[in-house]
Amino acid sequence: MADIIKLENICKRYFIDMPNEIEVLHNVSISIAEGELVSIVGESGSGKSTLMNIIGALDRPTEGTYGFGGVDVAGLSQNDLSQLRKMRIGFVFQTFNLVGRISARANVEMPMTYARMGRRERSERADMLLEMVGMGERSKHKPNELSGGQKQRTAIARAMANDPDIILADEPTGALDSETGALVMGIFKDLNKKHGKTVIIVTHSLALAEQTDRIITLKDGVVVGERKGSET
Amino acid sequence: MRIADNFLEALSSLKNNKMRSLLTMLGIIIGITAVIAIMTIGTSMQGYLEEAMSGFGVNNVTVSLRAKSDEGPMFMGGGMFMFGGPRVEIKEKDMITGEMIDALVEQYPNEIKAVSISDSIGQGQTVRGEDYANLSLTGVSPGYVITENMTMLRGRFIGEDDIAAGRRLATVSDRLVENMFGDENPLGRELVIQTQGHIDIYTVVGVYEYDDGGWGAMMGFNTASDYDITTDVFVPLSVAQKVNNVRGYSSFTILTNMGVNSTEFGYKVEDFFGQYYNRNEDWGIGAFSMESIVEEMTSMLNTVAMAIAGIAAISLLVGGIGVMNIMLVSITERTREIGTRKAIGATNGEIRLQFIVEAIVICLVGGAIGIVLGSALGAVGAGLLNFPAQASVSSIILSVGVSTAIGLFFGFYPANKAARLDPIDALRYE
Repeated sequence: MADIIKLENICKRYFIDMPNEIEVLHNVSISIAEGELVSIVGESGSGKSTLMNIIGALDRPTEGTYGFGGVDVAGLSQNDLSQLRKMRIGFVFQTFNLVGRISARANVEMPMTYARMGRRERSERADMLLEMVGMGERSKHKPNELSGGQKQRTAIARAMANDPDIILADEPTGALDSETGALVMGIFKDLNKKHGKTVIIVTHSLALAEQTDRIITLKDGVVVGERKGSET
Repeated sequence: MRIADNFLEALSSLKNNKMRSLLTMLGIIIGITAVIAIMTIGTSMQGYLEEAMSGFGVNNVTVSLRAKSDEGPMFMGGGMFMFGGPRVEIKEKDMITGEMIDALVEQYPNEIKAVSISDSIGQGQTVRGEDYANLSLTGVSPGYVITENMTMLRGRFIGEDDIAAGRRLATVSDRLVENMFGDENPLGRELVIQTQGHIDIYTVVGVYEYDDGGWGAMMGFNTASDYDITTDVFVPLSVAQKVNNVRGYSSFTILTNMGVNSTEFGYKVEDFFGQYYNRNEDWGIGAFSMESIVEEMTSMLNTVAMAIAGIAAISLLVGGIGVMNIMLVSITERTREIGTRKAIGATNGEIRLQFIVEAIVICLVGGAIGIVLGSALGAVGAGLLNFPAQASVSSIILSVGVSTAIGLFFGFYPANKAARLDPIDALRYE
């Protein structure tokens, strides 16, 4: 399969040209093929969040090149980056980040409103996606009426809203108990296997990482190892 | 994001914080209410005045004696107005004479179309059995029926012959006829009219349509019941002069030709009479037109409107700052939401637009409440002043525009701040 993501010699520095300049990522090169289920593992401070932000087109590398589906991300404008995030990347956050005052369905619809999809079309698609993650009956509930697992499933449905190429999940089971975590992980596996989505999970949990096809280990801003997950 | 979706988002956000939204709107509501209320009253009054003016004849200039100690005109009921009061006695030498009027007409033949003279005998009553009618007895010249734009219902008005012969004839109002004769034919009937220190018998020769033009009611004079209403009884001018034992007049009315600015002509008339009255210590001449009164009232209303508009502007400014403040609070509260929206693909422009629309919606909802409250208040105000209420469409359109502009202006800074948030920082915000 072709690489959907190709990072070459990525460096990320903060406080450039100041006394407290710090390099968080050093010459990171990673390739992720279409349809892969990959995890990026590292302890806190290892630079995995910075790497995730770069992959998610929320941040730009200081040095190095980032190709997304053959496109050089470094050359994209702010609006192009928004477009990339909107149509090709689905984010799943540790703390769900659902908008509290609107229903689960409205939350799922949100990326579609930014894609200027018609009201009926997005409503139907939101229902379909919520059905897919097993939330069909709770689509009218607001986030504060949902359990953690239900919130995360809603968030996954939202990530799928514009049918992205990759799902980028940041500690997706971090706020969940192990049973619910396993359920959420099951959904990611389904998205990967049944729907062919590239799934990238950023986590500090090795137990979670072992369930992915490939584990990329990051330490102090450097890729220190790559291996297959033991449970796949 | 489509603009309709922006409005739905904004409404859902407002609904989520009902109390806060309402309090935020308060400044806008008060400002718009004040503007709409005063504009509604203004429009009602103007519409009313225009109608009243067409009834009165804008071309009339009333010229009358004015005590030099007095400042301005004093309104009387029934469309009459007079200068001064009985504070300084009018002596024979103070009166306007027929020669003066003739000289005036000679001086301004192009401006003057007709002249009518009236001389008040006084307030009085006519009684017959249990029936009575309050009246104001006035001697008039034939031109009076023209200058006052009166409508004759039966019989005729006072004529030149009646004046020359000094006949005791009367033209009365339909209201007086109703009181005294009911459905009977009043023409040829006699009325015993009593005024201060004077009783006389007059034969009715004509009936005119009573029309207070709303002035009396507007100025709050005609508080008497319908039956007790005071109407004018017109008798030949010579009769009044005989009763009053004078040869001059205290006032007369000029009907100017079309195209003459009656306000300016009034000044000319006052100047003309200067030659007769400059050396009179007690009395001078005042000339004024309905037009000048309308102008004065309009300018008075405009002054009040300006003052209220000033207060409203301050209220709207404070309201706008309130909106800006609450938008800044809202954006801080929703920092993570903004981060999330950016992560899922919202552009900076879309975030900016969303919050500007939200600010505009706050202002528009506030403006709408203000329009409803202001219209109601204006209608009540117009009602109290006895004008038929008229909605001021221009002020409603203006209010919607002003509300939108305030939202746009005061929403821009917070919205721009939201748009420029870094998504990574925003997502991390606790």
